[in-house]
Amino acid sequence: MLGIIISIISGGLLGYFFQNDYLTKNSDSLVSGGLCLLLLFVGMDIGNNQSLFSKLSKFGKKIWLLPIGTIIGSFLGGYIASYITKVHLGEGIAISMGLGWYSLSAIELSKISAELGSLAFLTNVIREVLAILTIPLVAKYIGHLESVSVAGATSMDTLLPIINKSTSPDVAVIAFFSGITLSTAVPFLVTAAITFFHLG
Amino acid sequence: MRQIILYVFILILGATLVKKNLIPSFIKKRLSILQTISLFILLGTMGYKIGINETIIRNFKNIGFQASIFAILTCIFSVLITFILFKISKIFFEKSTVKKRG
Repeated sequence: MLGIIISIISGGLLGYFFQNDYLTKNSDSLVSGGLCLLLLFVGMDIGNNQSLFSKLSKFGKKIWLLPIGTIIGSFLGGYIASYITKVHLGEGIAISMGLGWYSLSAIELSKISAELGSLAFLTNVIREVLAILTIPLVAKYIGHLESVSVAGATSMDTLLPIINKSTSPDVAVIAFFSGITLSTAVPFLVTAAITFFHLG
Repeated sequence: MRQIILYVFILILGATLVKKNLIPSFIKKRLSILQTISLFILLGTMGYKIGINETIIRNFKNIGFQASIFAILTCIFSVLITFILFKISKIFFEKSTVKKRG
């Protein structure tokens, strides 16, 4: 946990105070390459786990509860946050339906207004950072599956290694499934919020 | 979509390499430490990307509070609803098992 906090904060400080041209130019490739390497290790961990598929088959249809719970929870969170922050209800729900996928929700919502796009972008970036910091704690004190819901759509990529490290390979497979489902749902959910609340 | 296919391919590749015993045992034994090192490098780079992004830094001063409230509440409620749904499903599952036995 401490290592996670130190890594992300020191990276942030390094980027803010000591920008390096080479690193700045190649940071996207570094993240993509690092992510692929980590996913390979997660795959090896999954392959190492002999009873994985028998454990998964016990789950059955219950596996759908994870993405459904994440969508309903994010919707309610967005609903209540709109009242606290005085953001228009429809805009608040559209932001929360980004489910942590900051690039897509920000692009879609910036078509309505630049400020809304920025708010969606920042909300989902903060959600990702929060997830990095809280997944180990939620996994330890509340439950493995609940910790996956914090990650939202990013449970299939950037946060999968943290989930795998904080839980177990069988939960990592469920997290990957949930991440794919949520990533597929995000474009529809954001567009549905825009249409339903006449934001466009 | 291409990204999803790539990730699925990499995960299956990793699992297959282990199943077919193509990974030396000294790597298999050190999988956890390898994951930890790569994870810290990845998180450091992600932090760096946030640090160099002027949009995030500039906007954080203006709309950081609103964004933080949205992020915190969506996380809390996602955990809460998932927790409740799995609790309810457990009760239903146990009931149906008892009925079948009865």
